[in-house]
Amino acid sequence: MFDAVIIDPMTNALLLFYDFLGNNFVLAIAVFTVVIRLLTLPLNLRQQKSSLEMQEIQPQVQAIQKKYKDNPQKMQEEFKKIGYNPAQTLTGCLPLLLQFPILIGLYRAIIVLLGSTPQALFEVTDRLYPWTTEIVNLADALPIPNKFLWMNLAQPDPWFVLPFLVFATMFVQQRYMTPQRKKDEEDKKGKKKEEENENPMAGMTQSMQWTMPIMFGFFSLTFPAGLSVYFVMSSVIGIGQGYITRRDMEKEQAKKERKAEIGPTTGIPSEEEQAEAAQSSKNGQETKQQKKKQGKRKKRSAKRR
Amino acid sequence: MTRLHGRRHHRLALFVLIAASFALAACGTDLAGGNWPGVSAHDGVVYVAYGPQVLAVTVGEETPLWTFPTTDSAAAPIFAPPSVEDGRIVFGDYGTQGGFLSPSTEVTIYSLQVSEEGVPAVRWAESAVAQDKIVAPALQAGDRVFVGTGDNHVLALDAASGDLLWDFETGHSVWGQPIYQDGVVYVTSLDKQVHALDAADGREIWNQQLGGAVSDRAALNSGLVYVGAFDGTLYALDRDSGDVQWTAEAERSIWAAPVYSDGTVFFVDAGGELRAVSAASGELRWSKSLGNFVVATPLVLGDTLFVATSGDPDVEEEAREGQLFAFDTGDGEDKWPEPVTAAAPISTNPIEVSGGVLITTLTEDEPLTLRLYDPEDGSLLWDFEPPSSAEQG
Repeated sequence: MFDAVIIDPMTNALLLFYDFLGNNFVLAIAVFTVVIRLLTLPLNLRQQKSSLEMQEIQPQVQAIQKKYKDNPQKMQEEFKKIGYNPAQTLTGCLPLLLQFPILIGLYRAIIVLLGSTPQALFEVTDRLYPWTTEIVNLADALPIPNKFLWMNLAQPDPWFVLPFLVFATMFVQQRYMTPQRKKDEEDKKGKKKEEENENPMAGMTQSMQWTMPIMFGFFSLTFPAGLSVYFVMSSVIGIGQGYITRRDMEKEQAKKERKAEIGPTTGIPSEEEQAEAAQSSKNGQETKQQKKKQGKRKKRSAKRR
Repeated sequence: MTRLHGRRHHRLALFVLIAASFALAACGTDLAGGNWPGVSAHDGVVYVAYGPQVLAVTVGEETPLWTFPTTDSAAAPIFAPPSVEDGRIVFGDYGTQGGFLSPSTEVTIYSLQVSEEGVPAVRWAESAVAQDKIVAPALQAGDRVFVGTGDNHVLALDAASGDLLWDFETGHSVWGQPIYQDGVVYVTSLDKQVHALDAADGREIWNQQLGGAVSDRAALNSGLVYVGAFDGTLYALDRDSGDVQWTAEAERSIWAAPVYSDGTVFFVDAGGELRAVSAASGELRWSKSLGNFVVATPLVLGDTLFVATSGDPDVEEEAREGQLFAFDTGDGEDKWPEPVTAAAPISTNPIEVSGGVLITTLTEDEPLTLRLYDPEDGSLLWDFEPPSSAEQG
C-alpha cells in the first residue's frame, strides 16, 4: 500500500525529472524538492502564519492564564475571544510530520533508482508505470550514475559536508519558520524555564529550533547523500519562504502599529491596547514596548497640539 | 488546566516527532539492500552466499559442511558468488557502515583456505580497498585475484597476501565477473563500456562504448568478446581492438550474460526472448519466447541449454514462480516434456554440479532452497534447505 501510494509515484516522478533534466540526478532531486514544497506550501504558510500570530498574542494568553487560573471555563471563553486554541501547539508541527512519509518514500525511491544491487535495479521496472517507460528511454536512463562530486549518492557523505549543510540550513530555516522571543521580553522574564512552563508553544518551538537540525544532521550521517541533498534543498527553499512570509507579516504588523498610533490622536485607544494596558497596570508589569509606544504617542500628540 | 493541556500537546507533538524520526532513522540503516543468492560449485561442494553467511554443502547431504561466518549476527551481507580455485575461496561482502561518526562503508574481501575439518581458515581479509558492495564474483587467475566493486573499480589483489597490486576506475559499478585470457582482463560495467585491461599493471588496452549498461560478465571465444547490454543489443567485439564486429538485437534489456558454445552464442533478454545466433556473424539460428522475466545466465551442458526464469511479469511479484527450461542447443526444441517449476523466481544462475543442474531460490517468504535436477529428464536428484539459526544453535 505504502509502495503504491508513496514510493512508486515518487520513483516515476524522479525518473521523469531525471530524463527531462538531461540525466542529472541531483538536479532531478532539486526540482522534485521544489515540487514537494509547492504542494505543501499552503499548509506550510498556514502553519508559519499561525505560529507568528500565536506569538503576537502570547502576552494576552499569559495574562488570561494568570487572571483566570482558578476558573478554567472563563479562561477558555477568554481564549476564544482572542482566537487562541491550545491545540494549535500540536497542529503547528503537522507540516513537519507530513514530511515523514515523503522522506521515507523519497529514501526508498532514491535507493531503488540508484539500484546499488541487481535486485534493486531490476525492481525499478516493476515500479514504473507503462506510460513512464514510453516516455523514458530506460536503456539510456538506467542505471543512474551514483557519483556526484566526491560522493556516492546511495551512501552517506564520508566527509561530513552534507550532514553539516543539513544542520546549518535546517537551523536557519527553523529560525525563520518559528517565531522568535522578543529580546526585551526575554530580558524581563529572565528565566527560560519559567517561560516554557508559562508558554508551552514557545517552549516547543524554541526546543525544535535546535533539536530538529541536530537530529537531521545526525541522521544524514547514515542516510544516502541523495536524501541529504533533498534536506538541504528543502531547507533552502524553506528559508526563502520563511523570509518572505516573515517580511509580509512584519509589513502587516507595521501597518497595524501605524493604525494604532493614529488611534490615540482621536483619544480612542484600540480594544487590544485597552486590554493590554488594563492587564499590565493590574499586574504592574508594563513591557518596554508598551512604554515606548505610549512615549511616542505622547510626543506625537504634544507636537500636534 | 489549559496549561496542562498545552504541556500535554507539547509532549505529544514531541513524542510523535521523535517516533517518526526513529522510523526514518531505521530506514537509514538499511543501506546494504538485498540481492539474489550467489552460487558456485567445486568438486561436488556447493557454495552459497545468501546474505548473512556463505554456506558450503556437499551434494546429497542434508547438513552443511560449514558456514562463514559461524554466526550471522552483525555480519555484513554477502551475495557475491564465491570463487573457488585450488582450495581457495574468495568473495567480497556488501560492507558495514561505520556508524554516526564514521559514515564510510567498510567492505571486506575474504580469502579462505578450504579445510577438511570444518570451517575454512581465513587466509586474509582485506578491508581497505573497496568502499561499496562487492556484487561480482571474484576471478582467480594464477597468483592474482581480480575483483569488480560497487564503487566503480576493478582491483587486482595478490592471491597470497591480499595486497592491492593495481586499481582501475570505471565510470560506474562493476557487477559482472572479470574475464581473463592471455594476460588481458575483460571488464564489463554499468558505465556502458567494456574495458580490456593489462592483467600485469591494470593499464587500459582498449574500451568500447555501448548503447546501454552491462550488468553481467562477457563471454569469450578465440577472437571475439560477447556482451549483452541494457539497450537490448548483443555486441560482438574484436578481442584485440574492441571494435564492434556485429550486433544482434533483442526485444528488451539484456541482464543475463551471453553464453558461447560450439560456434553459437545464446542470449536471452529480460522479457524472456531467447536467441541462438552464429558466433561468427550474429546470424539468427533459432529463437524462443519464454514469456517470463529472465535475469539468470543460461547454462550449456553438452547439447542442452538450460534457461531459468524469474516468473511471469503479469503476476504479482509475491506470487511469481520460476521455471527451468531445457532446450536442444541445435534447434531449440524442448528437451523435457515440461519445464521444472519452482515455488519462487529463479534469479540466481543455474550451475552444473556433479552432473546435475542446480537451481537456487530465496525470497522474503521462501527460505533458501537448492534443487538439483537430472539434465536428461528434469527429475529431482537432491534438494536442500539450510537449517534455521535456531536449529543450528
